[in-house]
Amino acid sequence: MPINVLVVDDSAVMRSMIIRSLKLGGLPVARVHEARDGQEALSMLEDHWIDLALVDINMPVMDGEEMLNHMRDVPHLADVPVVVVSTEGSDTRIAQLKALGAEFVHKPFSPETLRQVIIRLTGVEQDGTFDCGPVAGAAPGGSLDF
Amino acid sequence: MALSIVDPSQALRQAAVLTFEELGFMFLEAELCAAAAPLAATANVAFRGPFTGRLQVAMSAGVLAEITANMLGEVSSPSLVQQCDALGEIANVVCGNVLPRIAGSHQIFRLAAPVVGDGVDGVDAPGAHAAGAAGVEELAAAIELPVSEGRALLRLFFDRPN
Repeated sequence: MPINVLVVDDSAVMRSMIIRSLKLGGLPVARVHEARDGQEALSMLEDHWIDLALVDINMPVMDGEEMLNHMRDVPHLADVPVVVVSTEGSDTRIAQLKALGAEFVHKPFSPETLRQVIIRLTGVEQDGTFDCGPVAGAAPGGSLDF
Repeated sequence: MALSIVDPSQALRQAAVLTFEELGFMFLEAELCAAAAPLAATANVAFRGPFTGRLQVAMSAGVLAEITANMLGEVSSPSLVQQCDALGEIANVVCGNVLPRIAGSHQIFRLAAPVVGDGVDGVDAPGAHAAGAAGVEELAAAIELPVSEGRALLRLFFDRPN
């Protein structure tokens, strides 16, 4: 079953790269939502059905760690799978994030790395589609049909 | 607090090459053939942790446009806003990768949001430091990378308390 994905990063270019990686990975994605920070992401989580969140750590307004802590404290968001996609290089901090149930992908990443982590975390399978065309990302706070 | 003894220049080069190749899909030229290419834009990322400072990345215009297009996966010319965004993200990723190489992967650093400016002035301007340091900053490492038909200059500064 196709999944709905939320991509949270303050860089629009990085959001586009992540969305392109999802497409290149051939994952069964139904809809992609975008947010610029943790606060905006929490709002989108309340308004939309999200199956997977890909979250940066260093962001203005609300960082990814605070967002993840908030999600784990809210019953209807606590079980949403989260992959942290970040430059974070501290084993200590990565362990803290993993203790909250998040997977971790280090920037820079390859589409294959992201794909494998998502499959392991969500159990989704490759749908066999492959589109190498450019991805026009949605505006922050918006969504994009795959 | 004990820190790993690593050559900052070597660490900066490793982090920069990794980022340019895997994030920007740009591969380094064998030698610098465009040393005169002016640096068009600069990004600074301040950090704090076991030591504080900033990482600075400056690029010539052609390199920045090409690397942004690569990151977006688009053939058309990226906008200036997209180029600034890409430069800031590159600086952020290099910074996040160089610090563990120097301090060890058990140390925790906090990175500020990238501050992007245009032109060469941003490289040497004292005011370019994004998160005001308490003391004098010193240059810990500087490398110049030949990329495509231009260049990138990366400099790592550590704050030295008064």
